[in-house]
Amino acid sequence: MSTRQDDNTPAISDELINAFIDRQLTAEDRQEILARIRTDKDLAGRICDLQQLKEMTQSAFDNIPQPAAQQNHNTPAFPRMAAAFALFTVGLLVGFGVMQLTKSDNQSTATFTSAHDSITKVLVHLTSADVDAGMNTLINLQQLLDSYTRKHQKVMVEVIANGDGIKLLDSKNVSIAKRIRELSAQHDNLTFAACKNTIDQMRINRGLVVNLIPQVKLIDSGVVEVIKRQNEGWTYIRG
Amino acid sequence: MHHFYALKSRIQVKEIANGVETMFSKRLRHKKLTQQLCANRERLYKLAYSWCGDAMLADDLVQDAMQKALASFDSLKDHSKLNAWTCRIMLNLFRDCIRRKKETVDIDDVQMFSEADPQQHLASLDSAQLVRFCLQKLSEKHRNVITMVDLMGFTYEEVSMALEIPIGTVMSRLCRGRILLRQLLENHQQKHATTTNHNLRRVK
Amino acid sequence: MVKKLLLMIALLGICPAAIASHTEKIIYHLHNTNPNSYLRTISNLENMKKGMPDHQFRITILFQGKSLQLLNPALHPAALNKRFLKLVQSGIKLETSRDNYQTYAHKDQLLVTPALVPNVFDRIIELQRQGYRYITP
Repeated sequence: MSTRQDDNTPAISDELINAFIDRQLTAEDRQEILARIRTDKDLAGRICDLQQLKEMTQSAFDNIPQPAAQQNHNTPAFPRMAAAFALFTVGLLVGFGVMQLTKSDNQSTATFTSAHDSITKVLVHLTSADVDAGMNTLINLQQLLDSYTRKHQKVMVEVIANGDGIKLLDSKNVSIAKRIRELSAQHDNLTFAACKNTIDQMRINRGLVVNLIPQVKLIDSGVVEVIKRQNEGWTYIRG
Repeated sequence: MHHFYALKSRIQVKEIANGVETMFSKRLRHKKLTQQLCANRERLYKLAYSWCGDAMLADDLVQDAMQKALASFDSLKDHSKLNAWTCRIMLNLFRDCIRRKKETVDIDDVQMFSEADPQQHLASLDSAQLVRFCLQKLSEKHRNVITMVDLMGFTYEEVSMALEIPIGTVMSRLCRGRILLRQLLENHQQKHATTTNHNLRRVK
Repeated sequence: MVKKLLLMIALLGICPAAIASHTEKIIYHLHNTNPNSYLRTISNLENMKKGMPDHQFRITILFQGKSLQLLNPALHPAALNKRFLKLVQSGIKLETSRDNYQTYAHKDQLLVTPALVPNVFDRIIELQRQGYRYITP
């Protein structure tokens, strides 16, 4: 693993390089390696690779699920001040962590691009007329789209409404219509569709006429589309 | 007011330095140690999560470890070793946890990703999930040194103390562990570079 | 640890794949606050475990939006809360998004505090990718 220089200077071992990136060397040893990097491209490469691996490991834990705030823990041993202090310093550390993440993200995409080439496909199935729940879904959709943009990854979202979900996409729901209009304008990887069968049945059986929001296109059968997409391996979410 | 407190803490520091622990100096020492512990909570949580992949369990481990550390502050003479010491406590708690769960034959126990996952799921992991997945595939001895250095920011001496192994062993395990991790990541890329393209073609 | 366990099983002549396939991973997604949802969720999960006794389960209940308020014990009879707690103690995980928790949780009222994830839909995608089956009440 170690290289031999032409002038017979001692090779730099892996352990020394690890110690270098972990900042465990004395100032002198560190200076020596820094000097060697200028002339030894191979050494520079090894250090770069190792540094990248270290940053990938660190950033892999920046967005893990978090426990909720500590209030529910029975910890009489911990004074309130300590908890508040902890939250304060966590804020600082998280902020710092985000800065490092942006830097290393670019580096990590350079080598491991295979995961980033694939497109995540998501089907959101609307079956309820509940407007509050519908708005909440649209908000979560926005967050999803934003998070993929931030991660430089591709996602495709299809929102399909059938059953009572059709009522949600009526243009009389002003806030929903507005949000859908805005989302559609911002994201061309997002489509909205409504089941024609449902609309026809509603009109024929119940005399209900639905004026679809303009961005919503018609498909013949919502159920068929839902099944087709799941068979194709799309992620399924009930909205 | 400010002057009074400054004076008081100077006396307390002098008392500690003289090896005389009065009630006041003891309280001050506890306060400093508590602050130091709390400042590390986030890092301890990431470390615990890297072991078990479960938010609630990780949080419990951190909480219990910190409480235990607080309860036995008196036996810790060297404050600079607080983090390594708390880490050791947490690792022992985690090992106890595994030992207790061993009674039920649950293979997937403390893994984030089940061994039974079909390959196509692995193809679409993002790079963070992939790294965590590969870390789990390493043996405990390699994973522990890597995560303690990278997530806790420990010096090699602190790792040596937390794991109760000589520094030389820390360095060789770290070295070997990182080589293995890199190989795992590269293997995955090779395996799934073609599969991913395949998927894209098929779906179109 | 896993390697030792697998070796043990191989020696006993049991196929590891067969045992591994007996772990059911379920993501149970709650969205609407239909008051029946609490009872329905509890019944569904209890029945699932009872119906597949030789299976190991890894279940995550994911709360989106107002459904988080279902965790307020004051809304339900004590007996129902007791059953829910029993499910949680058996290892069922609860999760919600950070925003959701801040908007809908009355923090001193929750029976159990869920773990927080950055985004609900992201989490659903992540878990489905890990082989979790997706269920809604």
